[in-house]
Amino acid sequence: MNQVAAVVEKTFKEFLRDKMEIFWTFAVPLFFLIVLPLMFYVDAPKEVISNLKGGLTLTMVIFLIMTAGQANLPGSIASDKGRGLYLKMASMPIKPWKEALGRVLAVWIFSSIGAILVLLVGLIYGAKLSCGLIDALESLGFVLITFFASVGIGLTIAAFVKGESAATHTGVAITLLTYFLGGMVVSYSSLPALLQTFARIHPICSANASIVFLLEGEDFVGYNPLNTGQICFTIMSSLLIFIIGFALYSKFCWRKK
Amino acid sequence: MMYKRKTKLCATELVPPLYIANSIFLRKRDGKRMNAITIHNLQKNYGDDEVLKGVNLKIEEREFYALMGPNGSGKTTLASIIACTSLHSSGTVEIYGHNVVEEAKKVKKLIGYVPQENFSSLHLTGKENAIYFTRLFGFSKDEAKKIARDMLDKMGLFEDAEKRVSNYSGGMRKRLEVATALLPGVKILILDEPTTGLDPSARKNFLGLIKRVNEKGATVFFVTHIGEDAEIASRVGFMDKGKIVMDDEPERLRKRSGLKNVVNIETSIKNDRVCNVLKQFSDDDKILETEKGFKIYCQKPEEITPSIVKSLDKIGCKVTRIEAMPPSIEDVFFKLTEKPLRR
Repeated sequence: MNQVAAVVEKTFKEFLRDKMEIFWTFAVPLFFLIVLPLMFYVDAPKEVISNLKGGLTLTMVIFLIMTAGQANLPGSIASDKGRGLYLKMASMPIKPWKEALGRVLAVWIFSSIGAILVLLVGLIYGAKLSCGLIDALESLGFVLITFFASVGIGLTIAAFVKGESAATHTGVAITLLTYFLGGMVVSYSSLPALLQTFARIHPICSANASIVFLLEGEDFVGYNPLNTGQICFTIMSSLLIFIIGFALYSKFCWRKK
Repeated sequence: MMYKRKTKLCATELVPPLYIANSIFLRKRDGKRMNAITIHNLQKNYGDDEVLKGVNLKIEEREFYALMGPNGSGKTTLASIIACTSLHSSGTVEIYGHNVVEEAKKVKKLIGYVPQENFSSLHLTGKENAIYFTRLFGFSKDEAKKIARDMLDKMGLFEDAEKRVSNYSGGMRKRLEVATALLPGVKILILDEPTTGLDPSARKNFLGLIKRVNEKGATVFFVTHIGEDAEIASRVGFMDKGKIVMDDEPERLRKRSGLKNVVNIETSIKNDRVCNVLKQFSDDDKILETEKGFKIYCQKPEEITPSIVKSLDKIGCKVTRIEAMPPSIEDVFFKLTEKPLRR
């Protein structure tokens, strides 16, 4: 575990000390959180505004986790790959899975801090979350699902995309596409049939819908994602993406010439 | 049996820092040093491209072996195979008797590899980098702190240990990276072109440090295409087209080349005409282009120097500097392989 802890410490410090990384990971969701209500909730009835802000806050938490897993993680891996760190590590007595686990845990800590920050800003900004303890715990489970899927996608990007900038931009593009096409910014009912299917199938979109459903209610989602079939599929697909990402990372980033 | 047991004791488990690498334990009974690196008929192909063509090499423990060759000769590939980061196509590589493929875990505890690239993290301090790599090697956090402190001290980085690597010079960064390879238990230091990009003063300091590390007990495998770097080695190997074509002590290589003197000529212009004129003065028609002019090889430079200046003046080329000097390893390489190390 000492090797895993060393990787966690190193990766986390790198995240914290990279000002651009902090800015883009934390600032974009906070910016959306503050600006979107000013643009779209002006005409909304006063009694639902706090719930709308609550829904937006939760979506921004998911957005932040997606950015950390899908953009920051592959960016950091690509940067290390570019400067020959994997060559050095391949000559050392450390197993790829331990190194990968360290990186994943560092992303978890980093995105948890960001998520708490977004939640706090949202609550200060007037967001209302109507939930009990059980709903909150269930929501945490869906947050975890989002995290696993995001990290799986991030590791897959890292396995194939070379260059820090290319890997980060690929991750950002996937995050934005997921956000805009998966019913996270536009209500589910106004999505075309094809994208409604996408929103139900994609584990991150589905987990986001489940969290908002649990903490804000069905009106703020547009459908009930909490049926056995969809929950099982979301969990399974998320874990599958994570395992595939982990395997691809271990195989391609650590590949011997 | 006894010999094997001694090897195992020293080679695998936690032992004091490299500097105390106790070669007494690793010596064979007859007093000869044992082989730190043994390479037999090593071949490496990338598709149809044959990069290594049957390399054979034995490096004794505590030797400072410099491997020289032009770009693309296969030096880095050979270093990466020894460092367990590349797989070979056929042949065998053993580190203290352990096969690099079958016993990679044991081998990795015996080698410290510094690849060409600067792998240290710019966002971390020198100390944090050193601790990170020490922990990756398997030491606990507390042990790593002590070891890192010791390593940084020995590499002359103690004062700058708390500075971020982004504030380090090229030479400091390279020394830090060598420090991350000098972990307790490591017996072989593999350095791949470590002086590339360093200014002359930083290079000199760096080479001095590596020499001291070698004198304190480490075996050094040093890959370079810079002749001056190889001068400090106890043995130099010349690599060309995937083969080690010659391999000996620097002085003996000089003798074998038959070179006595080199005339270094710096000229105002460099073109084929100048080259053709100078060729007439070279003992064997060989001429090496340098950054500021040319080098020719001759037995009695004092006799030809005035004629060189005169002949070049006739074709409108001024000699800005001309001097006779003893041949460098780079000259020996050129003489023996007919190829310049640097283009």
